[in-house]
Amino acid sequence: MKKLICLLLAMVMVLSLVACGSNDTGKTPANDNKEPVASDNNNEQTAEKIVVWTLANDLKQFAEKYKEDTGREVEVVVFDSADYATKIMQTLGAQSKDLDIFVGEPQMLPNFFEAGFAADLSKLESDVAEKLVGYTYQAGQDVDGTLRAVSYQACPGSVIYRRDLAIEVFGTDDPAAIGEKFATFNAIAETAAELDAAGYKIFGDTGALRWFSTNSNPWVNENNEIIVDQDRLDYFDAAVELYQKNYVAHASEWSAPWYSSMAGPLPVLTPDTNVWDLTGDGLAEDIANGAETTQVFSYVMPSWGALIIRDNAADNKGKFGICSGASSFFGGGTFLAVNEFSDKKDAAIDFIEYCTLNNDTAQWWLETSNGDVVSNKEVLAANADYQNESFGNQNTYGFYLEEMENIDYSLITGYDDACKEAFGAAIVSVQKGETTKEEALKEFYTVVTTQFPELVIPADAPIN
Amino acid sequence: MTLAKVKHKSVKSLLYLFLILLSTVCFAPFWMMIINATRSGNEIMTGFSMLPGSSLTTNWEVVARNVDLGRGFVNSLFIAICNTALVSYFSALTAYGLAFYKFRGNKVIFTALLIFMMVPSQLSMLGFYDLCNKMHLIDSYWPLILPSIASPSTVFFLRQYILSVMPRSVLEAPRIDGAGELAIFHRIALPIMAPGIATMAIGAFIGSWNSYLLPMLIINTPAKRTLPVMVAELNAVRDITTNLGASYLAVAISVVPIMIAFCFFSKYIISGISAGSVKE
Amino acid sequence: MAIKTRRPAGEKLKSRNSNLKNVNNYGYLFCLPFVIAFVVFNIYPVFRTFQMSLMNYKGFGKETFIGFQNYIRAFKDVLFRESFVNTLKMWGLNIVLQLGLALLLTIIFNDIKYRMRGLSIFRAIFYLPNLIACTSVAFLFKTLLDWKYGSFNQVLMDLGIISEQINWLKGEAGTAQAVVGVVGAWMWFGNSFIMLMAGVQGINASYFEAAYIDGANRWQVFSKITMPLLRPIMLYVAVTSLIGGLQLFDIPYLISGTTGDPGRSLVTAVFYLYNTAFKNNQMGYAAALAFVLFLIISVFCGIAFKLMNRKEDD
Repeated sequence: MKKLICLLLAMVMVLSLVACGSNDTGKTPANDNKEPVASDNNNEQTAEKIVVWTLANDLKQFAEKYKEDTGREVEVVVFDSADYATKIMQTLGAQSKDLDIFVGEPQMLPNFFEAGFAADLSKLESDVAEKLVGYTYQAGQDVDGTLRAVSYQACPGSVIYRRDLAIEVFGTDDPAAIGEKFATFNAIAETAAELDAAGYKIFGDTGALRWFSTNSNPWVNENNEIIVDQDRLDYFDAAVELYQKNYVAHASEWSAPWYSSMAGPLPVLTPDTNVWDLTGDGLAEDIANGAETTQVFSYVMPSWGALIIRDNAADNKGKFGICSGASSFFGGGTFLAVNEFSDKKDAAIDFIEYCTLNNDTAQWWLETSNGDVVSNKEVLAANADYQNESFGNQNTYGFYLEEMENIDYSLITGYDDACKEAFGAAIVSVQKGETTKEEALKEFYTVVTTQFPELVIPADAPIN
Repeated sequence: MTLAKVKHKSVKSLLYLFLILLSTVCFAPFWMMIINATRSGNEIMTGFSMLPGSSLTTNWEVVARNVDLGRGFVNSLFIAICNTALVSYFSALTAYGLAFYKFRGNKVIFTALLIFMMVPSQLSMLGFYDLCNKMHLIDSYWPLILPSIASPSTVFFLRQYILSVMPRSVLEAPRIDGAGELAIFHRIALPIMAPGIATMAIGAFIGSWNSYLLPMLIINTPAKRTLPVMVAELNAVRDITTNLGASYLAVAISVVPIMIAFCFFSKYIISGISAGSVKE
Repeated sequence: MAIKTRRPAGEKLKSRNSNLKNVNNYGYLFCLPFVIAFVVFNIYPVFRTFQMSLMNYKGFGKETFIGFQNYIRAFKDVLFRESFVNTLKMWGLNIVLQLGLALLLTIIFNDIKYRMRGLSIFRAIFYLPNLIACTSVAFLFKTLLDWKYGSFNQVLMDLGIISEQINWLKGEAGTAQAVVGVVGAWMWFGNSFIMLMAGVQGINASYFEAAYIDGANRWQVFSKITMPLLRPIMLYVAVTSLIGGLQLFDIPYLISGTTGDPGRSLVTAVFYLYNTAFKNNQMGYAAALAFVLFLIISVFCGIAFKLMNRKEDD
């Protein structure tokens, strides 16, 4: 009896899958077992095949094109990003030869280098130095200046703003003029007030400001002191002010209203509205019911974020422009490194060279990816006049190229993620009125120094 | 007759209602999962439905393009069966040895396994990886299978179990008849322990089937990956909103087979426990 | 601890077998495979971890011996303390719900008056949530409970149970912790129920019959017969749950998208350990944290054993 019911339940589940899948039902997993488990040893025939471990599907496309062009085989293995760094640490810590190339995001690279996982790429150095965007070259160097990783991609950041609203409020949509409005945290606060008076919100939420948090000083200096300079205090104050005066729309990054705001008006939200719980539909209804609405003026994102905004803009497509903000920054990026323990280093280097230094590849990727920014300066320059219609016919590649020249990579440290996270948490606690700025800053120092006891709080820290 | 009986009946109905409600709570997430597996990412985001949608084919294509779930299924099954067999046999063997033989070191082993039941698995994980590395076992199934020969908590449970269900006197007759000790274990003790073993075996099977962290760290070759690792890997696929239905589908595919398997296992285990609970 | 049974009368306790000593040597043979695997896969790794805990070690590169500095740091670590408190909160709710529900069901199904039917069906259904991987459970609840997808909120609103959507996972710290506790109970109560039922079925049904005939009420049967006889199994369930619960990691890690938000509230002790080892690359310190955690778990288990045993003596 029980078995029957159990089976029935399972059958119902299976059937409900099958019923609506119409013709496709033959593909349930059991029918897919072409080979037995133990027969994975196909490495004999393809001795020259190189293996790439990566975080995203991009490199699969590169590998396909590489095979088309050169006939050489590249196997691309994609891992879940959450545990990727752990996996690399463990595998290469074991001096594995299972992979020839691995990727890393900029913040992972110093550890990979220090651990001795990444092979010397000096062979490519002169080309990289000449052809690629400066900061990607610097990010690929270890502490001694040896090149160990190269990126095909660059991820310069920018302020992505609404041209139509800019003309309405400021009388101009010129990127240089709007850039002035975002030049410092104080300027941003003033701009926010102006926009609010006109009925618009400067950002989705104050998280946008975090991208500007490294301007003139690193988070940790060479004496292991945690640096909270005037600029970061301004950032703190601006974030609190924007939040408490409702100058932002309180639509967090990646929430439904945040996405919707790219395409049209939002109902006026307060911090108490839980944006994570709203659905696109609910918003449309609210607006149809005559709720008071506003619009989000700008977003701060790396270049890949600009693509997200473009893709969600719907009717607003073409109304955006990009300009620089309080600091030039970059976010993310896929760097390729050769496994120090690999037996096929030359083949691996050839693939990296193909992906990063070959102008044809870069041009192809520019077109295929439809907006990804490549690290190849020559190709960017060659496309500098390309008018991007998603961004009001702005010459985006030209802009990015210029912007990247301003990135000071020496300000990046291994503690940045931890510091930014803790600083952000401190800001949130003050915004919500849970604590004072003084207390929040103390908490920030405590959190950072607890995790990294080697760091010290300098005597001139803005706490008592 | 009346009032008491009415009360009796209504209380009974209430109890059944409670049980059914609890069953619904247990089953609802599965139902939602199945339904969502047949709907597109957009449909899932914008509303809930009790009825299946029409995007199963599309979702399946997304899943199939990114991971080979069939392969993962076979891999997981292979590892889980090996684990279950090893855990069952060797734990029973050890439990029997600890329970019925007085030898020096017996107490030491028992105390050691009690202590190791309390060791956080993360504690040994760091050293375990190091060990596998030195023994060149990375990217093979051995590190996922062999350790199940030593499962302290199973041995502990079975030792308690056999002491309570099998009187020592059972051993005397066959010993006098001259049966070997291993034969006695295989022919007499093992069948008596079967219900207890079954309880632990199903736990071992599920534990192995669902294990994520260790396979994720140990296995490198995509074709050797287990199902949970493959499901997690779908998170690396870009633009999750278009793939949300696909993610649901992948999870559904990993869950439904084990539910079917459970139907058979559970029949055995539940009747086994009932039968084994010593009818005197 | 044992499942109590009655031994047949006339059992001969003293064996007159002259080969007893020889026979006992078989104990070594029976335990040998276990001991070998145990030493290789359990004891060695723990030893190695202990070694790491005395080192300044990033998980790669050089290891420098620093004595017990990592342990000293662990005892002063406010974040570790905070994460341990988080673990206790989530586990506490989890175990109360899990054992409470399992006990309630055990009582319902053993009630001699109502004689509930369908035990095996319900038992199978209650066991269902136990079947799925933590990764899948976390994915399911994250998507069912979360922001724009939120099927769960949609259903609750359709049914009129709530009028405003609830932010289960990214709102208040307490709510998110409660969700993790409830999800844990949802996963495990069926398991506890099966164990408790196995324990009850070890109890001779005639005890209940006799008590019923003697006119004992439900509470008396429960407190005088069921509970005392269930105590060993309860102890087993509680202790294993404690050991597992204090190592809570997968669900909060995955359900918060590996961040531990809102406001670190879902960062458990092992979560913190994991971050320390693999995110901050402080492998030596993480190893020390693991040992401190082990110490704490041992103390808790010791207390649990003491408490349960004392009651038994009464």
